[in-house]
Amino acid sequence: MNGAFAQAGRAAADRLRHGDLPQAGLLVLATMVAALALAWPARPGLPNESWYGVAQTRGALVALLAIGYGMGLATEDRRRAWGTVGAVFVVAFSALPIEMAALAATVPAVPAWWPWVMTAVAVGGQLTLGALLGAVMRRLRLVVLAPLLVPAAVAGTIALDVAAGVNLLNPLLAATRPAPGFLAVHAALALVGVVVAARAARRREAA
Amino acid sequence: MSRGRTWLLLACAAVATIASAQAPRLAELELGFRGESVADAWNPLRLTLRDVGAGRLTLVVDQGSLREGEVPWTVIVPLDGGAGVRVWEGDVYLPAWRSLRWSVDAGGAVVASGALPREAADRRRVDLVVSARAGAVAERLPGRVVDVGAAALPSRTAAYDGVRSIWVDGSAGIPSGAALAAAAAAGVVVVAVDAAGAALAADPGWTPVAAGGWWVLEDPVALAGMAFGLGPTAGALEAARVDLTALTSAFAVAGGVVPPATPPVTTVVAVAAAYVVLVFVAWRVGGAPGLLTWVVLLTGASGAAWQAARRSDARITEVRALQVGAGGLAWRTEVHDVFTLPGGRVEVARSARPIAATAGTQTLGHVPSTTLHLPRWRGTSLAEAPRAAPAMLVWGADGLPRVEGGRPLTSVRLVGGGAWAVLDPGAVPGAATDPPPLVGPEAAFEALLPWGSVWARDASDWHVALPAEVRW
Repeated sequence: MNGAFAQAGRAAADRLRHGDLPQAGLLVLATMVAALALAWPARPGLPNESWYGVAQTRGALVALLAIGYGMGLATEDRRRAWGTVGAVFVVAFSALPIEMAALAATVPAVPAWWPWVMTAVAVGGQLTLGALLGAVMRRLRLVVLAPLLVPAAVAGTIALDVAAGVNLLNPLLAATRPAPGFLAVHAALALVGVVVAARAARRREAA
Repeated sequence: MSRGRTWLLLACAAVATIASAQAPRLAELELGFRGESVADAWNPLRLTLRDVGAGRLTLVVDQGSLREGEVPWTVIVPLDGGAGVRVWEGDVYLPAWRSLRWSVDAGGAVVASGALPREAADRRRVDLVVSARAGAVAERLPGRVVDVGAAALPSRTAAYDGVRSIWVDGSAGIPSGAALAAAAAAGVVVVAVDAAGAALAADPGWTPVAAGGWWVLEDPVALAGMAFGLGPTAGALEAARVDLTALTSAFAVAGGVVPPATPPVTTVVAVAAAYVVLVFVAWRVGGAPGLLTWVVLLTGASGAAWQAARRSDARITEVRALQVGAGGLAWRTEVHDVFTLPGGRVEVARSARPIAATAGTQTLGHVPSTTLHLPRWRGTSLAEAPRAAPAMLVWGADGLPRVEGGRPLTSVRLVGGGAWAVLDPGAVPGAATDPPPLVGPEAAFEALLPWGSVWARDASDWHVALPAEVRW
């Protein structure tokens, strides 16, 4: 197990060293800094509401990143796929210190552990969601529409939750409000992803 | 049926009807003096229970409007149960209401309830008369004159918040000195004549007229037989009255919690950008060293960001006292300035009223007594129920202010006169200097004081000594 983690870690480090993922990660972090700058109060004495904007920005960016890279996981070799998964987690967690500054200054009625737990679970679920969408698109031979489908999927999760009046999929709402339903759904999705990946690995080994 | 039986049945029915009509009510509530409550003031509340189990009195005052919607101020009084007659007495703050309803619950059932209409929300102060000749006062003071018994006057200063004057002539008993002192401390004009004046003048508790507020002890010899003929008129009462509610509001505005400052945006962005660059470098290093560097960066930056931006005091409360007196006894209230960074419940240990209309709950006889729900990054001020306290700022025999107590007072100002930078306890003030100009809330506060008053500060507490001369 430790060996698998070490392999995944090395694969993630390799994935973040060059190529598109570090560029995407840098874009995520730069956007977070911009969101922090825009949301931070312009002068002392004003209420600090920055965390709400920063957390929602992080929630949306991480969802786009995870669903986007999740769609391509099935087309990558095993090592690279694990590297991608690890790298997406690294990028998602890298955004959290910026959010911590906003959270500490805003003092919302939200515990400090929530962004960490939410990020860990949400990324797993969103990677699986992306992988499922990717499989459907490949089956329909519509992979060319993937750049459109990723933001559409994020918008769809928001629209579904808003229409149903729940918070099971919406990453924007869950970013600013602890939502056990969101955690349960994404944990289940992540579990499905792990099981499917393990079965695929066994099939490859048997072949 | 025989005629005799019919008469017997009718007689039984009549007796039953009379008996049920005369059955005492389980709970009776009296708000204000003899039911004359005053809006925007603390009012005495008297609840009489007969053979009622443990329960509670709930009083809901809606102070909202069509525009604001409902703004409920809820007062809860936990009640002990038991057999026999039990009386609960206390003071409740009644804001001007759109609707006021109350109920007594015991054993899971409502045993009594009632309501006051919107038209009953009267802000005019009442004049209390302890006399068999109450009509004479009613003629003299058109307004809200309430005839009360001497024993009905409580010894709590807050109970007299809505009272303008008390007239006593001894013909209906003489109230206790403690009750009159509590009233006088609350700024009530006490007019005592004839036998009452003589009795009170002989009472050691009364004789030091150096109580706070407004005392008028008419000369019982000069007024003998004239009843209330030479007492103050309604105009004189109004002219002499110091609006303690307005003073409290001005005092509250002059302070308040300052929201905590946040670091400048340029610093925050610079540090965040540096962190992003370091993270990117760690990614580019790659391998185990890069990953290890990233983990150190992540944990270190998270901890540092949390420590640097975190508020140690998410809920800030500051307490300031305002004392208004004329002699040795003062009216005292404490203003609690509360500020909460996360939204939620804020509490004040004692019974307090919000300075501005705010929804909240007051549980009498319970700690914390007053609770409010505030949105995040919002502050408000609450004023405790007033009480009598020893005055720190008094007048000396030479007509100059003196400090009683262990601490010096600063920024001493005579309204319409000079000023002293510091006044030490017991010291005779030196030559007064020109008072420095006041602006903003402090100027508004001073404008509410009568000419000849003196006021000073003890850190964030303010002390006022009203002019000591008899005004009529």
